[in-house]
Amino acid sequence: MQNFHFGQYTADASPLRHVDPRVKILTVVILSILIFQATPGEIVMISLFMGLVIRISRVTLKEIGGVLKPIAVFAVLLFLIHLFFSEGRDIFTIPVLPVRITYEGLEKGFIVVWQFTALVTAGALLTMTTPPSTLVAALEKLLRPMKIVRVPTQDLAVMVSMALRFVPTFSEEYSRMKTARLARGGDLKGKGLSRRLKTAISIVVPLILSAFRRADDLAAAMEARGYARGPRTTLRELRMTGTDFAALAVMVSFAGLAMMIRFIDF
Amino acid sequence: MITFKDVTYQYGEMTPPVLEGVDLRIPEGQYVALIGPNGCGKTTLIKHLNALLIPSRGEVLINSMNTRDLSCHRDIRCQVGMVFQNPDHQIVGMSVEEDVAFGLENLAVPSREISPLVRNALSRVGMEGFEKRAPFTLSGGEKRLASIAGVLIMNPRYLALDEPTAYLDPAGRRRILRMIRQLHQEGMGIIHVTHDIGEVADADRIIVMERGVIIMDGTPAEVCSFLMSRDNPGLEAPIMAALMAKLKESGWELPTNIISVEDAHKEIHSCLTRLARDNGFAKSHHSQVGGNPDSI
Repeated sequence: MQNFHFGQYTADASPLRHVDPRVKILTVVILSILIFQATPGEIVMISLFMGLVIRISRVTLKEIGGVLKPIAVFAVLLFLIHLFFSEGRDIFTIPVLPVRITYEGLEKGFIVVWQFTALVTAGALLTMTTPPSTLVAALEKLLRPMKIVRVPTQDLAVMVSMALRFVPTFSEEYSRMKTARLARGGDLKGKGLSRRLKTAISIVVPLILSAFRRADDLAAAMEARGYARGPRTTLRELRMTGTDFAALAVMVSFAGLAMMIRFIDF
Repeated sequence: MITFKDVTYQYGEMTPPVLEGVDLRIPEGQYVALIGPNGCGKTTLIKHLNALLIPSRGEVLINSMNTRDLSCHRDIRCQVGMVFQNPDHQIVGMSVEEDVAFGLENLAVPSREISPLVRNALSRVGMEGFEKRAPFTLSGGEKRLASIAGVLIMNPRYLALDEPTAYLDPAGRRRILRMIRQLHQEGMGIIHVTHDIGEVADADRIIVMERGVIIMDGTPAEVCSFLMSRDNPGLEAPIMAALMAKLKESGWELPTNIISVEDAHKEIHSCLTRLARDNGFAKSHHSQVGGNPDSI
C-alpha cells in the first residue's frame, strides 16, 4: 500500500494533460459505450485508436502494465468462466468432468477480457494524465445540470476531492501502523488464512477508527475556513480551447465511424 | 474586540463543564498567550473564537457579532482565523495552492482573483515556489506555514493558533515564532495556545487556565511571578526564571519574573556591572579583561 499508485496522476509531461478534463471524461464515457457493444471488427479499430492515444499521451506501456497487473487474476478468472461455462460448438470435452470448451466460450472469453482490460486502460489513461483537482472540477461542471433536481454537485465534488487528498495520508498511516506492529515483534506474514486475517483486522480496524477521527477534525477545519452550503468558486476555471474542441471532434468522429461500420456490418 | 461573557461549555449534558464562567476581553491587535496543563480547556476556548463551538451558557461576541447567530458565522470565520494543532488534519487541498485557496473558494471569490492572492499569502509566510507541491511531501514546519497561509488569505483580524510549535524541531519552532511576531507587528491580534511559557515571552498578556477556569491573567512578568510562587502540577515555571531564582538564592540581586533569554542576559549583565563597580574594578581593569562586564 505504501507504493500505492493505481492509476494515480503521473504524466506531468503528457500533452493530454492540457486537454480539458471534461473532454477526457466524455471520451472515456463514449469509449466505454463502444467497448461494451464492440463487434470483433470494432475491437481491432478501438484497440488501434487506444494504442494511438497511449502513444500521444506518452504514458509508457510499463505504466499501463503496472495498472493492469493487479487485475490480471480477475481477468484470467473471467476468461476461464466464459471458456468453461458457455454453450456452443465443442472444441473438446473432458470425459469425466462436466466441462466443455466451446468456440463460443473461447470467443466470449477473449471479448470479455478485452473489454475489461480496455475499460481499465481508458480509466487509467484519464487519471494518469489529469491532475486530481482538475478532474474534480470537471466532474463538478459535468454534474452541474443535476442541481435542478437538487443534487448537491459542489458538495459531491468536494467529497471526491477529499477522498483523493487522503489516499497518500492513509497510505502513510498504514505503513506507520505496520512498522509499529513490527517494532513490537508482530508478525505480518503469519502462516494460515485465519492468522493473516487476524493481522489484517488488527491494522485495518485502527486505520478506520483513525479515519473517523480525522474526518471530524477535517470537518472542523473546513468549517473554520468558511466551508458551508452556498455558492463556491474554484481556483481554476475550466475553459474549452481550440485544442479541446478539436479533441472532442476527433472523438465524436471516431464514435461516428464505429457506428457506421456497425451499420455496414448489418 | 473579542468578548467572552460568563461562558460555560459542556461536551455533553452528563459531562462536567470544560469551561466554566469564563469572562474575557481581547482587544484588536493584542498578542495573548493561553497556557495551562492538558485538558484545562484551552483548545475548547479557542474553538469558541470562530464559532466552531457555541457556549452552553453565556455568550461570545466577535466585534459585536454573537456566535449564536448562524447568519454571522461566515463573517466571524473571516475575522478570526484558526490554525489547528495538527496541520495534517487541516490541509484539505491536493496541492499547496489548492489548500491555500480553499478559504477564498468558500467565500466565492472570482477564480481569476484567487491565484495572485494565493501567491501573496504564500510569500507572507516565506513559502514562495511551493504552490504545486503536494502537502504530504512537506516537512512539519512547512505544513504548519502552509496552514497559516491558508488562514491569512482570508485576511483575518485575529489569528488563533493551537500549539503551533508542537512536533517541530528547534529551527521549525523559531521560524513559526518569528512569523507570529511579524504578524503581530503588522497589527494582527494573536491568540497563541501553548504549554511552553518560554515561547510567548513577547506576548502582551498571558492567560493561565486550570480545570476550565482562568486562574491568572497578566503581563508575562506577572504570570511568571505567579508561576514561581506556587506549585503548578501541569505547568513549569520558565527555565530562565528558575535560573534567576537559583542565582538569587546564591546572593545575586536578580528579579525572578524573567522569561526570555534576552531579559535574563540584560539582568545578569547589569548585576555584574554593579558588582564590578561595588568591588572597585577600574575601567582600565575592565579593558584588560575584555572591556565588558561579560568577561569578568
